[in-house]
Amino acid sequence: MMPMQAASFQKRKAYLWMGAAGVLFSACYLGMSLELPFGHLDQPGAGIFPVVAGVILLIASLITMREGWQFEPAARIELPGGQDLKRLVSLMLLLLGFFIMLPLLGLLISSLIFCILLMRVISDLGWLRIVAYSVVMCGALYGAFVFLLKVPMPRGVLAY
Amino acid sequence: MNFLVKSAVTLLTAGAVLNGAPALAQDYPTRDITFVVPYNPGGATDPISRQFSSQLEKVLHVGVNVENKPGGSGTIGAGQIMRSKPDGYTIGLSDIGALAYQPLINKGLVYKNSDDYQPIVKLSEQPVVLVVRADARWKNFDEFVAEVKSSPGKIRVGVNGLRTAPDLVIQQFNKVAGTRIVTVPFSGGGGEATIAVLGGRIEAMANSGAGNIGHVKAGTLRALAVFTKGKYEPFPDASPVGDAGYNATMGSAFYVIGPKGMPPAVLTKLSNAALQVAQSEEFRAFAKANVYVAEPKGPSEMKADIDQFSQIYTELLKFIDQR
Amino acid sequence: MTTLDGILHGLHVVFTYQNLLAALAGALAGTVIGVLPGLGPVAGIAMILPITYSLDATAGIIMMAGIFYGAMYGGSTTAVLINMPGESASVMTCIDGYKLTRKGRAGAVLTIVAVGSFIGGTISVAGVMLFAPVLGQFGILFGPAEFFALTAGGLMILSRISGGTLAAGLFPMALGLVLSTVGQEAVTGQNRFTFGFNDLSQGIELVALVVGLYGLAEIMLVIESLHTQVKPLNVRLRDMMPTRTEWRRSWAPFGRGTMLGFIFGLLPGPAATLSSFASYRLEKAVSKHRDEIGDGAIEGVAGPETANNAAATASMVPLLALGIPFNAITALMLAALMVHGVQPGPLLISAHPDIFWGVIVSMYVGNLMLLVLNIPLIGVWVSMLRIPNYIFLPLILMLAVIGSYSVRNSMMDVYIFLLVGVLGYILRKLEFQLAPMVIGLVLGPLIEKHMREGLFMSLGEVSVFYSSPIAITIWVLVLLILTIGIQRALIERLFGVRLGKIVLDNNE
Repeated sequence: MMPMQAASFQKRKAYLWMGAAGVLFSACYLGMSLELPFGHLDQPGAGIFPVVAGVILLIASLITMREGWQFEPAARIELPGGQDLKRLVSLMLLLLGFFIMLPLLGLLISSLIFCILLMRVISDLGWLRIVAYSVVMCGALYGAFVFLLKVPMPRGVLAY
Repeated sequence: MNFLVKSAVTLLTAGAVLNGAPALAQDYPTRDITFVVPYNPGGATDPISRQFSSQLEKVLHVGVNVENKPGGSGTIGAGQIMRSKPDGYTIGLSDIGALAYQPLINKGLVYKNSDDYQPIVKLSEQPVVLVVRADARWKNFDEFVAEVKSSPGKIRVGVNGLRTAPDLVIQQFNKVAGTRIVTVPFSGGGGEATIAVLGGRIEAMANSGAGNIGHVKAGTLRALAVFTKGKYEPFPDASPVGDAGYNATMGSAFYVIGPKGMPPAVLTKLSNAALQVAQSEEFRAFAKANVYVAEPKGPSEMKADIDQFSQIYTELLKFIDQR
Repeated sequence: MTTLDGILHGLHVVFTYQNLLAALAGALAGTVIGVLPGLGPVAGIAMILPITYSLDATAGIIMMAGIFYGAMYGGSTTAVLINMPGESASVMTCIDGYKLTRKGRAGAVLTIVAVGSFIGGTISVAGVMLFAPVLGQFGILFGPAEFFALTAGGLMILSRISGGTLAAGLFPMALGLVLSTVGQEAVTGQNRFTFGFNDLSQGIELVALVVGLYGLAEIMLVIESLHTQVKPLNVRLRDMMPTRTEWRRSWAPFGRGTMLGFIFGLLPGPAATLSSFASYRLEKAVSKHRDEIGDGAIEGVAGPETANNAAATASMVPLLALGIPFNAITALMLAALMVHGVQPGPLLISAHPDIFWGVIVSMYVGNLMLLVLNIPLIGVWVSMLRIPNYIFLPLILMLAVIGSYSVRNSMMDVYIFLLVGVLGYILRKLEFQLAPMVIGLVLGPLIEKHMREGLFMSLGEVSVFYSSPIAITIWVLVLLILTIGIQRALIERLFGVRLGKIVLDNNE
C-alpha cells in the first residue's frame, strides 16, 4: 500500500549526490588535515591518521558515485509527502526547539512542552489527556533521573 | 485530570519562588553544592573527589553532588567552574596540569593564570615514581642514569600521554642532567604503559605511585626512583631524585577551585570548611591509603604554589622547544 | 587457596543478606539500564556509583559487576524489538534481531538471547575462576604492534560486515573513521576539527551516535509512516519459545560467541562491543546458514549476544589479576575499589580473597538470577510493542536525550544526537548499512593510537609492526580471510572441483 501523496526520488541521482557531497566533504577535510602537524617517524604527529581517513572517505565517495551511475533509472527512493512530511518536519522542529529550550528552561519544563506538542502532532487525543499523560511521563522521568539518580541535567532559570 | 495540571503549576511556581529568593551570604550554604570533576568517572580524580565531597557534606550540612565534566585534559571542567555564578554553589576539582600547564600551550582557554579563578584549597600531591621490571638489569637509580648517559636516545620511559606530569618531570630531568631519555606516550589510561613494561617492550615507566604500588608490592615491578626531595614513604626502596643532586621533583597535585568574585563571607566559610576537610584525620588516612601526599593549603598558599609551577613549566617548555 | 576453597569462601561471602541483595539489585538495574536506549552500562554505573560507595568494597564491586553483565542481557531487548540498540554492544543484534521481530519471532529471539547470555556469562566465569592469574598474563603479550594488527586488520575484515553493495558498507565506515578524528587526540593532546567549540574536544560520543543513528532515525521512519504502518503481530505464548530448529541453530553460535567474547574480554579496549562485531562476522563466515544472516537469521543474534556477555565477564580478569582496567567500566570499578582503600594489583586475589571469590561466585548467582528473571520478563518487553505510539515515541525520545546528555553532561552530545539522527535517516533511505559507521568510530581511535604509540615505542622503526609472532599471525589470518574468494577460485581451477558451500566464503 502506498502512503498518501508519497513522493519519490531517483535512486541513481541520490547516490550521485551523496557521493558528490562525500567528495566535497573529504576534500575540505583533507585540506584541514594537511595543516595538522605530521611529526617525524619516531614522533608521529596528529595529522597522519586524518589524512588516511580522508583518503578512505574520498575513495568511498567515488565508489558511491560509480555505483549510482550503474543503477537502473527506474529505481526510486520513497520519500514522505503531504501529511507524512508535515509530521516529520514537525518532529525535527520540535526536537530542535526542545534542545534550544533545554539549557534555558531546564529539563522538566522543556520536556513537558516538547512532549505535549509532539503528542498533539502524532495523535488525535484531546489536549486534556495529552497534558495529563505528559505531566505524568515527564514527572516520572524527572523524578527518576534528576531527583533520584542525580543526573545533572541543565537546570535553567527556574532551577528545574 | 485538571488538578494534575494545577498541582504541577503550583509546584513549579512554589519552587521558583523558593529558589529565586535572595539568599543572604551569611546563610550560605542553603542548598546543594555542585562539585565539578573535570575527568571521566573512574579516572584517578574520582576517589579523591568522592572522599572530599562526602566529607564537605558533613561539614557544611548540605549535599555536595559530583558532576563529571571530562575533556581537554581537564580544561573543559575547569572552564565550566570558572564560568559559573560565583555564589559558592559551584566549585570543583582541578589539577596542576590543567591549571598551570594547559594555559601555556592552549590559547583558547577562558583562563590564563591564577588570577582568573578563585583558589580554595590544595588537597594533595602525587610524586612521580620511576619503575622497571623486577628482573631489570639496573639495581639502582645510579646504574640506570649511567646507562641513560652512555646510550642517549635509547632508553624508553612510558608515560600516560605526552606533556602529562610524568612526562614533564622526565623532561625536567633531561634538562638538569643533560640526558636524552625518550618518553613513550601510552594514552587511554588503561595501564597500557604498565603492560608494556611488564612485557619488556620498554625499559621503564614513570607514573604517580597509586597506579603501580600494587605491582611493586607484588614484586612484579621495582621502584628505582621517585621524583621528590626526601623519601616517599610508600616506596621506601626508591631513591629520591632530588637528593641525588638533580632538581627534577615535580609531581602532580590536586586542588579545589571556584569562580572568581565570590562574596567574602561565602569564600571564607567555604575555604575554611574545605581546609578543615583537607586537614582532617579521615582525609589524611584516605590519602595515605591511596599513596597521595596530603598537602592542605589555604587559598593564598595555594595560589603561590600554582604560580611557582607556572614559572617552572614556562622554562621547561623553552627547553623542550629547543630540542 | 585452592579453587575449591575459593568457591566455598566465595559462597560464604555471597550468601549474606547484603551481598545477595547487591547482586540482585545490580543485575536488575543493569537490565533496566540496558533496556533503556541511550543509557549504556558506563553511564549507568556512573549514576549508581554514589550508592556503591556507601556499601562495603565487596558488595560495591558485586553490584557494579551485576550492572555490567545485566546491561548486556538488557541491551539487546530494544535492539530486537524496535531496532534501537540499548547499548553499543547490541548494534549487531539490530540487524537480524529486528528482522526476526518483523516475522513475529520477537519472543523466541529474546529467549535465545537470554539463554545465550547465560551460557556466555557462566562459562566465562568458570574461565575467570580457573585461570585468572594465568590469563592476566595474556594481556601482557599484546603491545601496540599486536593491537595495531588486531584493530587495523579487524577494520579491513569488518568493512563488509553486513553485506549490501561495496559503497553501502565502505561509505558509512569511512564517515565513522572521519568522525572519530574529531576532538582532542589521545597521544599528544592536539585538538582536531573542533572549530573552536570547547565541548567538541571530547570527540563524538559513541552513545549519542548510536542512539541518534539508530534510535532517532528509526523514530523518524516510524513517524513518517504512522498511518500506513503494520501493527506489530500479537505474540502468542506459543511463539515465546524458540522452535526446535531455532535451538539447534543456536548452539554452535553460543559456543563460538563464548570463545570470542572470552578472548576479547582479556584484551584492552571496548571488549563487549568489539567481540559482538567479531562474533557477527565469524557467524557470517562459518555458519551453515550464513547466507541468511543479515535477513533475519537466529545465528546473527545468538553469537554476538553470547559474545558480549562473555566479554563483560572476562574483562574482570585484567582488573582482578593485574589491577589494570582495560575499559571504561572496569575503570569505574577500580575507582570504587580505591575509594574503599583496596589497592588493586597482582596481590588482590591473595590479599582480598573476599573481593575476588565474592565477585566470582556472585557472577554465577547473578547470571542465574538474570536468566530466571529475564525469561518471564520477555512477555513484558514484547508487550511494550503494544504501547500506543503517542506514549511510546515521546518517552523513548526523552530517554534518549537524557541518556545522550548524561554520559558526559554535555549539550553538545544532544546536538550530535540530532545531527546523526538525520544522517542515519538519509543513510537508511539510501539503503546504506549503519553498523560499519559504528565500527569506524570505535576502531578509528584505537588504530591511530596503536600505530602512533608503536612508532614512538620503536623509535621510528616501522618493522615493529611485523616483527612479533603474534602480530605476524594476526596479519596472516587477516590476509587469508580477505582473499578467501580468490583462494576458492584458485583451488577450483587447479583441481577442477566445485567446492560450493564447504569452504567459508567471504559473503560476496
